[in-house]
Amino acid sequence: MIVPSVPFLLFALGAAVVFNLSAARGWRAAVLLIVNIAFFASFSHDPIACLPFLGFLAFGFLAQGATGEGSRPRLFVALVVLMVAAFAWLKRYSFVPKETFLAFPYVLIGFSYVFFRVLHLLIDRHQGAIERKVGLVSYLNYTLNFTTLISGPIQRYQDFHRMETERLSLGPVEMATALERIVIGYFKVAVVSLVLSMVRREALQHLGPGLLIVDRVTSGALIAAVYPVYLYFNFSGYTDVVIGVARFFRIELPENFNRPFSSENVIIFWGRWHMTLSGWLRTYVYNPLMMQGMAHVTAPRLVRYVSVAGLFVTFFLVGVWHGQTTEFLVFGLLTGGGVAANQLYQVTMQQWLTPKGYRALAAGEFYKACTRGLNFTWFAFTQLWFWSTWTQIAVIARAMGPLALGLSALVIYAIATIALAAREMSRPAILAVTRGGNPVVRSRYVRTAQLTALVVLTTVVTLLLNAPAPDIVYKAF
Amino acid sequence: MSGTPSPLTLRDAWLLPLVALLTVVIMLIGAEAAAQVLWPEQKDNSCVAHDDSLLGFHNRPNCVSRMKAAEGPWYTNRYNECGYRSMASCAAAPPGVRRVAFIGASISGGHLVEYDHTIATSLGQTLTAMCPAPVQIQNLASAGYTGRKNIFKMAEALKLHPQAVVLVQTPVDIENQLDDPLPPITAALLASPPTVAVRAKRPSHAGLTQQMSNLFRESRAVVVAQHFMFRDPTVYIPLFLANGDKAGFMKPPFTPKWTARLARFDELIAALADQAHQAGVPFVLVFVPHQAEIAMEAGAPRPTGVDPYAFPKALEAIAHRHGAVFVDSSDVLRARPDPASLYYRVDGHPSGRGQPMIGADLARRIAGLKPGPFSDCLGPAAGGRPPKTS
Repeated sequence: MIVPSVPFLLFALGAAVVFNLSAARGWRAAVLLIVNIAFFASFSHDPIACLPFLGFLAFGFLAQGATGEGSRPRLFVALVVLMVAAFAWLKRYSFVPKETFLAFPYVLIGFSYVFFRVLHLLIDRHQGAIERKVGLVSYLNYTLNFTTLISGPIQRYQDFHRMETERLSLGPVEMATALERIVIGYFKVAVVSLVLSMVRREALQHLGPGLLIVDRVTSGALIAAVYPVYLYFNFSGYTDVVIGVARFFRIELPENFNRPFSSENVIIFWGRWHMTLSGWLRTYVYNPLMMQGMAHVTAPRLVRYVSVAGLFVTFFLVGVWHGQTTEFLVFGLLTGGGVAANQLYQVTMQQWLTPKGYRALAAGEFYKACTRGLNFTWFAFTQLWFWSTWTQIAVIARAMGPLALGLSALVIYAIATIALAAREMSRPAILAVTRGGNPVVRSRYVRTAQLTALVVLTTVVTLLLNAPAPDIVYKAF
Repeated sequence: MSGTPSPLTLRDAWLLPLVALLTVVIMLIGAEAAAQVLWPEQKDNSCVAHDDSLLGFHNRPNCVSRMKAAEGPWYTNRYNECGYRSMASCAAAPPGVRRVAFIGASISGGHLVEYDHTIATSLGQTLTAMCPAPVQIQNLASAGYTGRKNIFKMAEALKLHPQAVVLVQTPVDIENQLDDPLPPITAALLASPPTVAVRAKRPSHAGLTQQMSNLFRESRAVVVAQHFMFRDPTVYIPLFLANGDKAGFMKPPFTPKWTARLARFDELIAALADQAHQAGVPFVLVFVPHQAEIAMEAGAPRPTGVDPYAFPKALEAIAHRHGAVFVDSSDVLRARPDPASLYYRVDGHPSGRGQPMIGADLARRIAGLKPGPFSDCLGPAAGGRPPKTS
C-alpha cells in the first residue's frame, strides 16, 4: 500500500473508526494490532517472504526480554552486535559476503526504521530507561505501527507506551487539525513533489552535449538544486500525513522537520532535517562516543576536537545508513566531513575571534543569509551521491564540463541565498499581522481557506496530470 | 500538533463551511479569469454574413477576419472576391494553371488554422512543387456547410472548372447528416433550390440544469483543464467512448442511428459524385479520423467492441459505390509518434501541425491517380513509392 494514497487514507479512516468505537485499552490495542498486521501483509502475500522480517522482530522481542537494568554487559553487547549484524546481512550490505545472503526475495519494507526501534528498545532496556519488559502486543504495535512502518518518524517507545495508557483526546478541533496536517502532507507529495520531479526530469533530459553554456548552467543548477527541495516536500509531506493519521489513533508522533533550509550551518541543519534519525544517532552514537572520548582525552586543548571526531562518525553513519553502495559511502563521507568541518570552523573562529566575537559575527543578518545559502548549496552537492549513480554523475559531469559545473554551483548559491533570505524576512512580517494577539495566518478561518484551496488544487492537479504521486524516497531505506 | 487550539464556537459551525465555500468560488472565478486571459478565444467569424437564403450564410467577398481557438494561435481568414478562402482570384485560371476546388465544412475550410497550414493550401503547395505548372486552390468550404448544402457548393465549384473537387469529412461531419435542414436530394431540388430561413437567435429559456451545463461547456477554465487531461489517451479514450451515440462510429455493428447517417451520407456522395462525373471532374472524398480513432490506432488501449477501422471502411465502400476516389488520411497521421497531438485536444479539429500533413499526403495520392489530372506530377523526385489510393 502506497503512503500517502487514497487507498491508504481510506484504509486508515476505516481503521480509525473501528479503533475509536470503544475506549477500552484492550479493544484499541487489538484493533491497532490487526490494522498493523493487515498493513504489513499488504506488501506481500507470500508468508515465506515475510519470514526474515518476522524472524528479526522475534529476535528483537526476545533480546529486549533477556536484557534489563543490571543485565550482563557481555550479553547486551553480544545482542547488539548480533542485531547490527542481522540488519546488515538482511539489508545485503556490500561488506557482507554475498554467499551468505538468502537466495529468495523477502520483504524489507521499513526495515531500517524497525531496526532503529528495536535497537532503541534493547539499549534502553539495558540502561534502565525502560523498566519493564515490553509485552508482545505492545512490542508489535510499536515496531509495526502502520503509521511509522514505512519511513518513520522514529518514535521512542516510552512516548508510544505513554499514549497506549493515557490515550489523547480526539475532539472536533483535534480531528480538524489532524485533517489539516494530512491535507498539507498529501499536497506536498502529490502536487509539489510531483511537479518538482517533473521539472528535474525535464532538466535531466534536456542536458546533453552541444548545449550552450547558459543552458548547461541552467540545467545543471536545476538538476542539483531541485532535488533537495523535492526530497523535502516528498519526505516531510509523507511525515505530515502519517502524523495526521496517527492522531486519529490518539498517537502523537514526533516531528521530523523544522524548516531545515532556514539553518545557517550543517550542524543546525541536521538538527532540523530527519530530526528523529539525527536524534536517535545523537543519543545512541554521538553521546556515547563523546563520553568515551572525554574519558580518554585529557588534554584541554584537544577536548574540543573530540566533538569534531564524534560528529564525523555520527553523520558518516547517517550517510552510509541510507544504502549499501559506494555512492552512499561517499554521501556519508561528505555528510560527516561537512558537519565535522563546520564544527572545526566554529572552534577555530571562536579561538580567533573569541566566542563573543564569533557569536556577534554569526548573529549578523548578512552573514546568516550567506551561510544559509552555503548550507543549501553544500546539501544539494552531497545529494548528488544520494540520488544518482557513478555512471549518472559521470554523464552529467561530461555533459556540463568544469566551467558549467562551477557556474551552476555559483548560481545555486546566489539564488538560494537570496530566496532563503527573502523567506526569512517575510516570515516575521506575515506573522506580525495579528488579531486578538494571534497571527491572522494561523486563525482557523485562514487555515480553513488554505485547506480548501489545497484540496481543490490537489484534486485538480491529480486529475489533470493523471500521473501517480512520486513514491516516498525514504521508503527504499 | 501546534499549540492548544481554542474550542469551536457556534459561529464557527456556519462560518467555517462558508469560508470553505467562498474559497472554492474565488478559486473557480480566479481560474476562469486566468484562463480567459491566458487562453483567449475568438470563435465568431466577422466575415460571415447570415443573409444567404439557401445556405444560411456566406463569407463576405474580399473580407479579412481574425480568429483563434483557445488551444491554438491567432490566425487570419482572407476571402477572395467570391468569398472563398483562397489567395488566388476566383476568375478564370491563367493558362496552364490547374485548379483544385474544396467543398465541405470546417475541416475542408481549414478551420482554426492559418491559411498556409490548411489541408487545401498544403495540397496546393505540394502539388505545385511536384507538378510542372502551378496548382491553384479555390476553397469554397466553410464551417457550417454540412450535408446537402454541399450539393450547391459542388455546383458552384464546378463552375470554376477545377481539375478535381475535394470533400474532406470527419466522423463529426457525418454525425450531422441527420440534422440536415435541406430536403432529400431530387432533380427538382437541384433545378429549383429551396430557401432556408435565416436562423435568428432565439432567446434562451433553458432550465437551471441546462444553464449550468452551458456554463460548464462555455468555461475556458474547463477547456484548459480538459486540454491537459486529454493529453493522456488512457483518460481521453474512455471519456470519449462514454459519449454514447457520439462514439457510435467506432463500435460496429453500427447502431440504427449511425446506419441511418451512413445511408444519408451514401445519398449525398452519390449526388456529389454524379455532379462531378457529369462535369468530367474527379471527385475525391478524404476521410480525417477522429482523434480518439487515431489515438487507438497508434497503440493506446483499445476496449473490446471498439474498432477504429470500421468507419473508414464503410466510407470507402460508399465512395467506391459511386466512383469517387477515397483517401483515408489515418495512415499519415498514425505514422507519427504521438498522433493525437496533431489535434486540438478539446476542440477536436486537426491543428496547424496536423492539417499540413494531411494536405501533403493528399497531394501525393491525387498525383498518383492513373489516369488522373495530376498524373504527370509524380516523378521520381516526388518520393518513389506510388501512394495507395482507392
